[in-house]
Amino acid sequence: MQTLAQMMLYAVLAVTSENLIFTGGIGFSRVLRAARRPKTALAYSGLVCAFTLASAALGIWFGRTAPAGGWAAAARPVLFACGTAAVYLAAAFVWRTWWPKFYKRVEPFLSSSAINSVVLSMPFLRRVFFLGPWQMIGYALGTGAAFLFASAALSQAMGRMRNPDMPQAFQGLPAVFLYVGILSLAFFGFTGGRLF
Amino acid sequence: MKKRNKRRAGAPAAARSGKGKNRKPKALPAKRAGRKKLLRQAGTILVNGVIFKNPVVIGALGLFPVVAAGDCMENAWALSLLMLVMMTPVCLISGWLGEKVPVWVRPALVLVLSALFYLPAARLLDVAMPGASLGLGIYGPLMIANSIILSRANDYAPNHLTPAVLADSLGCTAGFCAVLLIVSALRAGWAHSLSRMGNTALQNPASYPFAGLILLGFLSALIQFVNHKRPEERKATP
Repeated sequence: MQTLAQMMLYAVLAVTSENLIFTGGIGFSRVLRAARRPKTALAYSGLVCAFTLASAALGIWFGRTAPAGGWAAAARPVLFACGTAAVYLAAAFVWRTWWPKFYKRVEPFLSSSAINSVVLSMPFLRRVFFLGPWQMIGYALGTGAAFLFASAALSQAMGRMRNPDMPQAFQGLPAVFLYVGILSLAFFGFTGGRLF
Repeated sequence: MKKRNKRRAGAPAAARSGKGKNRKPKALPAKRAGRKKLLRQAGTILVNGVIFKNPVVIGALGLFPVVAAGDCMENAWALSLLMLVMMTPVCLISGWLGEKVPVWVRPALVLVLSALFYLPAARLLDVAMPGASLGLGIYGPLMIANSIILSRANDYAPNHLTPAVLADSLGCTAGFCAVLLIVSALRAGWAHSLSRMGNTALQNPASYPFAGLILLGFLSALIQFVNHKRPEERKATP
């Protein structure tokens, strides 16, 4: 029961106060692309969740093997990115070879979701080393849910951002920036300050 | 110039037909014209990257350094330096490897290249601006996954010629740095004026991501306004 509670706590943290997309402005450009294809948002978020879990596991492994001080510590993000690239290659190879139909479906956003997991996990590179397996699963689930929530919020707004009553210069992307700015202001209430 | 299969478009006509060996004197003006055309096209790509197709305010790429880290001029200069050192080599290598690498392997290759070039960039930053990497915090290493670098190196560079790739990467770097410096200067000014007015409610509201997003919205509207005013024929890019 306590394990489940911990998992849920980390999931809720990832969706609300540690929502990197709105409170940290991280991974926003990829969420915007996901919002343009609302039909694939669920699959995209599932992949973000899976890659975040794999990246977090990789982070724990690097934390235990790579030296903590000096240049090795500075090279940790590099190792982490290379490890995620290897995870992406392995996943793409397996799916291309044995599940080509599934691969064809996820191909447009497979690499993007893998890279997004680097972006969403790197801020927690230090903290992730100390997470237990259930906390890690909770955090990955929360990250996927936060991604889905952000892309759903943006895809709902996309049509309205092209309202012809709006000045022409503000239609589209400028309106999206202002909308997300106001949403980010609302999320500021959960954090009460800067995350990083 | 745009795609590899059109690589000879900017080359002299004599060189294309293969009869240039016997007509060397006549081929020279055509060669010069080809070079001029190539330079003009590279110039257009560069200007588009800086202003009209700016990767940040028009392409919505690489937003986190501007939104989250671009709250003071020191961070802005440090991130600009990282971008300058990382972007061009990653794009050029990706362009040279081009179609030799399968499409599905390219994202991993570009991510590894970006990660590898982060190391000398971070070292240079420590030498040029001691202490700046501490101020950047997690946003320095996050430049590895900057979507401008990954997108241009993965999607644009492999299908284009080296001068175009060079112009595009320099243009995108200049465009990113320009937006970052403008937004950071505005936020620094905003923070300074608030502190002079004796604001105590919030420590520095200009440093929060929402301030960056709202400023980006207005900057994006300004570029969009300029783009609407441009004649249609000028919008076509090579």
